[in-house]
Amino acid sequence: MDKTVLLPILNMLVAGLTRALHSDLPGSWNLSTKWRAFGLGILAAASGAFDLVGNGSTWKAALITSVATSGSGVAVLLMEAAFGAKNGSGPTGTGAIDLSAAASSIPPTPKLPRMAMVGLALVLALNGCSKIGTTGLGWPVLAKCSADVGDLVGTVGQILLSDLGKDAISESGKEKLQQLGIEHGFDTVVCIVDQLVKGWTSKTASVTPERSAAILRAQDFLAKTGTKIERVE
Amino acid sequence: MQFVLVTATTLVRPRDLGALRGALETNAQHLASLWGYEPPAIDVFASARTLPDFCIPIMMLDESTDTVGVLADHGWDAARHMPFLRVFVQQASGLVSGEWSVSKSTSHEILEAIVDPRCDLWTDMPGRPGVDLAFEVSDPVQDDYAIGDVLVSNFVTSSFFNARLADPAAAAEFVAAGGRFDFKGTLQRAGAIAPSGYLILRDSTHRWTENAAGEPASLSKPGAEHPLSRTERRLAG
Repeated sequence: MDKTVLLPILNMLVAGLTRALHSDLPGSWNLSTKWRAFGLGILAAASGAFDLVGNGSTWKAALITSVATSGSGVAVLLMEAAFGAKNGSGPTGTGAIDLSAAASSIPPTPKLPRMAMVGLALVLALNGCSKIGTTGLGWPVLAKCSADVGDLVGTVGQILLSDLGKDAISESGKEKLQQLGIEHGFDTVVCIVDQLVKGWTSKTASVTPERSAAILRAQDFLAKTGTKIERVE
Repeated sequence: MQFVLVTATTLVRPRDLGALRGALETNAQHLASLWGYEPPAIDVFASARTLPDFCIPIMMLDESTDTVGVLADHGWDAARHMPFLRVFVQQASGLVSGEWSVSKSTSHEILEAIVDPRCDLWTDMPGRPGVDLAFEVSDPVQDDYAIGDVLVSNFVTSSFFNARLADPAAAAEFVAAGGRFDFKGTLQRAGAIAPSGYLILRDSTHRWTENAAGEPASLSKPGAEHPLSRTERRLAG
């Protein structure tokens, strides 16, 4: 299936499931623990698939995303079991584990630790993908690049040559490349930047002050993504 | 000098320009090394809307809206104080091959823009006192050579404009010592015209073109005689 079709579907699936399984949110479903665990599995798989397709991640990174997503979901279920799901602002899963006795003895302030747990799990999931770099989320660990730069070469080249960063890519330049990554694939953008640097630093390339500055920006950008480039000829 | 190739036509894609870029840059380096210029850089841009002020745009367009039958031209952008180049690809014989390929037309304009950015330089015609010769580096030969599989424009060297080397004996001595009047080594003396080339000349009363036979040039390049083509702008002054 085409990436442009698959990505929105996966995005909707992940967002919908997250909402449905989160008992605190309006619109969540009253599901038994069994069904919530089942939904969690689908959410984890969808998250991994989104990572794989949307971000150009490796299978390994996508698997880590799935595991981490599962972990965050399990943490939520455990926290609900421990503190009682009714302490949130939304409806509760009616089939949840009956811990009414335990719940009655616990003060009604579990929302903060549960949110903290979810936040922690989210951070672990994102770090597990090794995708939070100084350039932002989405850049792949590994990009397999062919020599064919495609039609985006002009856009990327224009960003790098026009950027106002002296020895490094500017924030504005990073944002533009990030946006291109979201629209066209992060691996595509990284490969074009790499190909441009290769061309500009070749023995036959002309050396001009503007091009030398663009090379520094491109190299800085690549270093910040942390992406390992594998050239496929 | 930083040239940027920009396409505004569906006939040439950015990736096509990416494939031409290297050969065009090498071609420009050949000229720069023989003429003593800094080697220019040539890159591909997505748009000409927000050009940095150091960039000279080379626009790929379907066809000219102000001229008929012109393959390419270049002029001076008074607002930016920079040359601008246009290549009209609808009539081209192909991207990289054929007598009027996009690559050859683009190369022709780039080379001439490097040597005479404002398109207004004249010098003494070698061997013909009282006659001025336009400083056009591709017109006298108007042929090509290949860089990889990309055809680019041949060009004359600065020796071509040297009046002393219009003398056949001096020219022969110069060539024997390894001198060249054009990059390919086709021409044998200063001011000579290759079979496919032409010159733009002027004296105190008028301007004209001339081919290798000494006749008014019958330009095979479509549109070159149009009033707004580069040649005609030269002739009109």
